[in-house]
Amino acid sequence: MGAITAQTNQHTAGSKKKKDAASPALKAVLHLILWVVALLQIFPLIWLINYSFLKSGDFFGSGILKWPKSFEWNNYVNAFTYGSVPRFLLNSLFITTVTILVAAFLALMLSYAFTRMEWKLRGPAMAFIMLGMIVPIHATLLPNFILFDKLNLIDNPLSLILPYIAFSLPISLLIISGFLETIPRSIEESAVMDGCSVFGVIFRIIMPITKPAIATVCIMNFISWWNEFIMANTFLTSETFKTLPFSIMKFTGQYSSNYGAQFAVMTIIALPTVIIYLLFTEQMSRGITAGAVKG
Amino acid sequence: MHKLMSNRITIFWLVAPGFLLFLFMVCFPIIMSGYYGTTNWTGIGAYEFVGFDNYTKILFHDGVFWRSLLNALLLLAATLLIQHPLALLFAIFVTHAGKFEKWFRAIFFIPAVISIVVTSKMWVSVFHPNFGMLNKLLEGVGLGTWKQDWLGDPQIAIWCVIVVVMWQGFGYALLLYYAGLQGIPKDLFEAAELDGAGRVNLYTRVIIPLLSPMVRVAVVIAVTACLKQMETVFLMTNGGPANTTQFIGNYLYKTAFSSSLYGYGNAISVVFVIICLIITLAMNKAFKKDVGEF
Amino acid sequence: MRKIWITLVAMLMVFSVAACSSGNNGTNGNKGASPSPTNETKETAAPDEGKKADPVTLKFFTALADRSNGAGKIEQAIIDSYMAENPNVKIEVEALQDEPYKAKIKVYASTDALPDIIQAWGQTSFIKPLIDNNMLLELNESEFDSSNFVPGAKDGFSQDGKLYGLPRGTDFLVIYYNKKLFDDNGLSVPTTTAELLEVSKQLRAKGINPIATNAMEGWSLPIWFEYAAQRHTGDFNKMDAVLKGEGKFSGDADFLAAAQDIAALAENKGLADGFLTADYGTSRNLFGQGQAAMYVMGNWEAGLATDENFPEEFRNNVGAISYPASDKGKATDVAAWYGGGYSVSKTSKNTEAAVAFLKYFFAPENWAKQVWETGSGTPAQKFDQFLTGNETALQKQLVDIFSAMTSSSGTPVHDNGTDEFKTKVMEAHQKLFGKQITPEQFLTEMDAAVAVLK
Repeated sequence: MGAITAQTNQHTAGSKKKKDAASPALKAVLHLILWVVALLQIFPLIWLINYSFLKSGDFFGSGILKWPKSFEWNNYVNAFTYGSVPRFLLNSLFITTVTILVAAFLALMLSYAFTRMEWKLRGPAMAFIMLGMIVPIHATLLPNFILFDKLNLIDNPLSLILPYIAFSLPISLLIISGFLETIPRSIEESAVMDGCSVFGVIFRIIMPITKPAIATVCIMNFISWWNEFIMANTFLTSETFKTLPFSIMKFTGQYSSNYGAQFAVMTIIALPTVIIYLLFTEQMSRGITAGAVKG
Repeated sequence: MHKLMSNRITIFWLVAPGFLLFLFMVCFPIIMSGYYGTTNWTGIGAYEFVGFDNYTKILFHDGVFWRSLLNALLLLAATLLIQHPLALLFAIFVTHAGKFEKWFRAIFFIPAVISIVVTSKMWVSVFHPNFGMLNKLLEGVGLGTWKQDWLGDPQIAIWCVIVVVMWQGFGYALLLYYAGLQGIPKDLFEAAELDGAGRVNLYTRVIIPLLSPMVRVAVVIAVTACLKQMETVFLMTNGGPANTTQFIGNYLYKTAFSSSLYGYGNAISVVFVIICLIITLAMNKAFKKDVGEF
Repeated sequence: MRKIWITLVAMLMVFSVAACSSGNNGTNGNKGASPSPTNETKETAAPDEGKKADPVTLKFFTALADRSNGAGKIEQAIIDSYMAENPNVKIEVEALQDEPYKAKIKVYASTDALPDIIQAWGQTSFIKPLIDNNMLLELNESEFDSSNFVPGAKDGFSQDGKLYGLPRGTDFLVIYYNKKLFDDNGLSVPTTTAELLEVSKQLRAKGINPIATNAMEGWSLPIWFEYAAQRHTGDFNKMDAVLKGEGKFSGDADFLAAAQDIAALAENKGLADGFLTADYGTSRNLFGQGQAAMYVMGNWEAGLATDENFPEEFRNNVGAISYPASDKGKATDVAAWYGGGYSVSKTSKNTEAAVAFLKYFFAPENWAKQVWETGSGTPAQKFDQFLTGNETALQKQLVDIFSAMTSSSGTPVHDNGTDEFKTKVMEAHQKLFGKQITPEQFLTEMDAAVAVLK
């Protein structure tokens, strides 16, 4: 790794001196560097998919990538049947969807109150929630378990949804309020003149305008909660509500000698997020652009 | 207008749901931790109060705790000094990549969206001394003598973990800087070109200073992520060998759950939150911004 | 006390095994009518009262995470057949690997919400806090008479004369070896500790990983060290005495010599590359795929010889030996203990149903028979009637080690105290095996761990 970075640094230093002309050679070098790093970033995914088609024993061979002698589709069949993937997939979808929608909704209301409304405690209150960004989730693991047990929420999707939402709020607030600051107030003022209530303003006027920021927040939260497993492992006990990241923990434990199937499960878990991300990548970079510049 | 905007009832309804949830799910548990931190509870049965014994032990006698903190700072340093400059550089490259711009942006971000469970498993395989890709690669290019037991060597393991964390977060940092670049008005580039200013000058003198708000956001996110690091370590090394790759999140989990020192584990998490608070406040001072905005 | 029993039982086994190997056909005939384990159990246990009763859901929490192989597969098969016979009973299984399991059981215990049936270990570190805090149901010993538990097996699950759990198996640590790797390189399987070191050096010189084990989890190392120590002290009891406060580790020439043995092994790279970061699955695969010559693991891995995921060449060549001897300790001095088992939660709303299931589970023809026949371990119940003579060579070797046992270590050292003690002991061992501390420092760290117990 170190060697590679050092190399790219040299390349860039060199290419920068030539600059300006944007000669074809320079362009080629630039593209080469980009492709090398892109490959480094995506290679593990390729490797993952490659090995998901191999037999367990092939893992110990000498090559880095291997063309399978015969495609072991069986690995995927195993993954689907024994790994309970379809059910876990639905659970994950349900839990993350509810989380990101409610979190975006609450964060929007909070952002509005913090950026537009006038009240004495708004500075400290906002700072207070922002501090939540530094609280590690695992610090709340056991106290929350005790709490949920008292509330009878163990093994209930709410035991994940509630903390997920709470931990989403600081970063969502940061992005949405940053975005709100960039929007001129004149639009709302005219709406208020027309007799619109504050809630009306938020949901009829602000929400459509802040769509990029909301989308960004949703995607960022989606990624972090889709992959969360420590809370899921602690708060869920029965198979009924378990989420996807858990299935790989389960699967690697249960089929520890079947590497091929393990890689198949990992591929199945990795692909949905990659696809969803690819579908929304445009939306997301626009959202971050618009929202965070002002920061 | 003013009257409407300072209506207490409206403010209450806007703030209360989110704020209460936050209090209940984030703050309340920490207060509970503070309470359990003063006990010698093992997680089961009765316990006694031991006052501040746990806290003094952490601060003055717990080498692993300080090692964990040091590791977090190492990671932070590597992130800020290596990952972020590279991410910024590549963000600039990507904007010049022509028709492939979107492709690169998407590919670079992919590791960030893949479950850490998956990436950790994968990297453990990559680092495996016998059949791992890294050693095979070194042998393949004739550097067989560089082969290592990457994760088993106490001197090297922490750097491997840091590389993995940086790799995974690279796309995230890149996207933030890329987004920042997109926010810079295009005519600025054109004006500079007309002036005949060199591209390097353009970036170092004009563009990068304009990016500073974005840098601030990226740095804040990096700091919190580094301090909170747990999952990658939990899955790759569980802090081993001999706690050399321990991070506080994992350490407190291990203390509370594997060693059954629940009271002590909670005390760790309280001290940890306080340290994070101090670092954040210091950072805000450095950025000369009020706390509310980071 | 417990050790003596294991040893006695083992000696009894000598006779029964001898009897069996001569009378294969007879035993086969007795049970030949019922080859399929799941179909034959209709008439046993599970009294009728269950059938018409209200629906019952039992939460079953186990650390046998692998449900498709070995013991986990059998556990699941018995659960499935029980549910088929008792349609009103639904058993929800939650399975995690050892360490996550133990972490989660603490979460349950801290909120007094244990599942109905849990896996328990008859070892102080695990079961004592649960018993002391009144969380486990006292079992009626006489109800399980027909299960034929071997004498002493239940001791670890008992406290103050009351029984709180039932053991699933007898465990002992052995060295599995890959005969082909030894033969191909003109090496012979070590019989003394000196040979073990020598063989490791030669394997390493030939570019083969000598010994694999799961040092990331850490529990195999202290048991290994118990062997190394016994080979110098000649007596497993000496270590227990130190734990009780009689004497110390540091300053003791025998313990130092044992630690030096391990250090020498580590120094000569006797341990497989990456062993410190190898978890159970990784180390097992390393050995099973022919990448390491030896594998230090418990006797429950007899399934190595039948696991289809491994190449046939390996399956036909895997064998097991006891830890090599020295002038003080014999190969028949074995680190053996009673391993995992089950307990019932006191707060369970369905204690009766839970106990009924355990009775079914431990009926001789269920667990004991099936676990033995599949080579997934050595039951803690009498199983001599299930010896068929069709066992794999590996199974036979394991039985031989077990039946030749002349003394045993009892509960592994790290499980003889609190969890904090356990963590410290395992970390000290990881450092010793990982060459991060000297043998002297190791003994000092062990003493520091013992100090925690006071």
